[in-house]
Amino acid sequence: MQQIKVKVRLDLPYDLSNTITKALAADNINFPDGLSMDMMIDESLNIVFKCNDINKIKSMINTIDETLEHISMILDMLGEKNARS
Amino acid sequence: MLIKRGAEAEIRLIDWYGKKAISKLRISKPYRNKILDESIRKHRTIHEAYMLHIAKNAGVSTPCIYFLDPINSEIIMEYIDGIIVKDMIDKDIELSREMGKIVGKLHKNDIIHGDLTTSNFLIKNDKLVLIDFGLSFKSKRIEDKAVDIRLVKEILSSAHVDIFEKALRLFLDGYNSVYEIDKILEKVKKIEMRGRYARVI
Amino acid sequence: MIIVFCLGIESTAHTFSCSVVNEGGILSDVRSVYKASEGKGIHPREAAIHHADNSKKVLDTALNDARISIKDIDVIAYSKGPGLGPCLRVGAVIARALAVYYNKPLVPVNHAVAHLELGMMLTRANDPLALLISGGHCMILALSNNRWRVFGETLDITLGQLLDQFGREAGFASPCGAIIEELAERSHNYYTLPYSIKGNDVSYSGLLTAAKKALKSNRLEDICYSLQETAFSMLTEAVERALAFTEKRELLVVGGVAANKRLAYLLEQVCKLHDAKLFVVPTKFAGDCGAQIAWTGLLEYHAGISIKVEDATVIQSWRLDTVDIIWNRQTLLH
Repeated sequence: MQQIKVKVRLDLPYDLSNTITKALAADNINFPDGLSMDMMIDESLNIVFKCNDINKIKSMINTIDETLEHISMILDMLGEKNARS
Repeated sequence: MLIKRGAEAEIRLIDWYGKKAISKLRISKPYRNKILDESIRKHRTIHEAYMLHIAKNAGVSTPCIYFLDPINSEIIMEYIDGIIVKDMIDKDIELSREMGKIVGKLHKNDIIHGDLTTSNFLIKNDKLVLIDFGLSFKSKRIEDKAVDIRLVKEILSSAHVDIFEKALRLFLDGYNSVYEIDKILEKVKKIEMRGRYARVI
Repeated sequence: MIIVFCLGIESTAHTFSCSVVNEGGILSDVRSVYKASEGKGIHPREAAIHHADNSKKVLDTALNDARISIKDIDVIAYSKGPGLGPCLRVGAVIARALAVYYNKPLVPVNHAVAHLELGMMLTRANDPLALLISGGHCMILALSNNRWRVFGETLDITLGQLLDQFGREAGFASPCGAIIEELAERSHNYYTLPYSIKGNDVSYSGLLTAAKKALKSNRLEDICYSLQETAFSMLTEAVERALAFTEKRELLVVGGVAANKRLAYLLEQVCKLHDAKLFVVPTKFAGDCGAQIAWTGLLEYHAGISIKVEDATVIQSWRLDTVDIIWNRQTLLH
């Protein structure tokens, strides 16, 4: 089975990475089968989207789109728009 | 003597040639367009008299009609000296089963009551009398029967919260002893999904 | 009593709104409303993008108007549902982010319950039969045993949906209630349309089909008038039946459609018939707003309700009659 993987890496201070991770986690449920999103914090915030069904690419794009929009909104809201990705 | 100002009619206790009787007068509603209002009142008055009659033929206790005046939207009918189930059911839950049997009988004969609230069942000499057939009609459709049952459910769950589950079970038992309920219950679920669980917008 | 400042975030459908309240009342209420293009309904994703784009501005203005800094907010409330998923998530993400970053308690609010709570607060109704009419709701309710119980509702589409779907067919942009009301005022020609009432419930789908069809061969004003008269009379009759059945002496009207003057007039007539007092939520707070969420959040917070950030999900179809009303609004009203 083909797997599509999209990695997003954001260099952010820990408190912002932590805020984003927790703020997004609650919606990270009821994903369609074959689609997943994982978040890890090291010195940056790493988000990995995986999709193992080529027919679900559209859902994957929508999920990535919405997630990035939420992140941008949070950064905007907390007054720190210094993300490098 | 005015005894009740109902939702759509004034109910008076009157003397009808030496006998106590009820006058049900459908009054004009200030909130309805005149053309609409007149047609509704006239239609419901004639219809109610007709439906009371065929429900009685189906073996359901209903008041006898003495006189019908469609022009003034008035029905003169038998006075039932009883109390409403709404005030008794919380103490005497078995009344739900009796209600179920009556509704089962109606539906078996393709009669839809249209307003099955606990205030439209009267208790007289330990027997139930069904009143207010203003929204009634004849129909074989499962959908129409399901809407009737759903209303019973709505009223029990809102006005009789403490006994709701048991009362509903008894009602359905009573109904099912007269008329097969399974298909109708499936339809009730579908209707609930449609309206009650409808997605916003 | 300690004064608690609650920030409420509303984002269930068209409206993104933030509001700050405390026990003394509403300190600010700022909104940004997504407008669908003409002849179209709400597009959830587009509405969500609108909400996200306007969120910072709305939040900052709400805080400024209330002359408070986010750091001095004591509790954050958000609308958890019912509503459109993408829209709800925008509000929830903001609420969770603020709660984590500033370490504030988070309170989930049912949007429909919140319409009722704000209405109770603003009108000081005590024990009403309540009519909740908005885009997504069309229900007749009363409080008993700590829950809002449904005494009547629509069997298919809501009054708001009826007006919107008819309006879109006529080429208006949704929400269409105001323009239909305006056109209806120019006519008194009643065209007979299906009137369908089932006990305390109404059914609007037959009326919608007939009204759309009638559009093709009649004056628009006449059909708007006839549609409005028929739909409102049906709802008013359902309310009258529920009033007679419950014997309540108060009627409270909340939700976006409560702003319609003709409907308010009809409901006033029915209240007169049953010696009931009519309470209509002020037009300014009839539609979706942050204040409803903030106020209900404050009530919940005082009752000890809060939620962990990881549990702060959204529920698209969260029925209001499943919410336990365990807070005491009397202690906050003075």
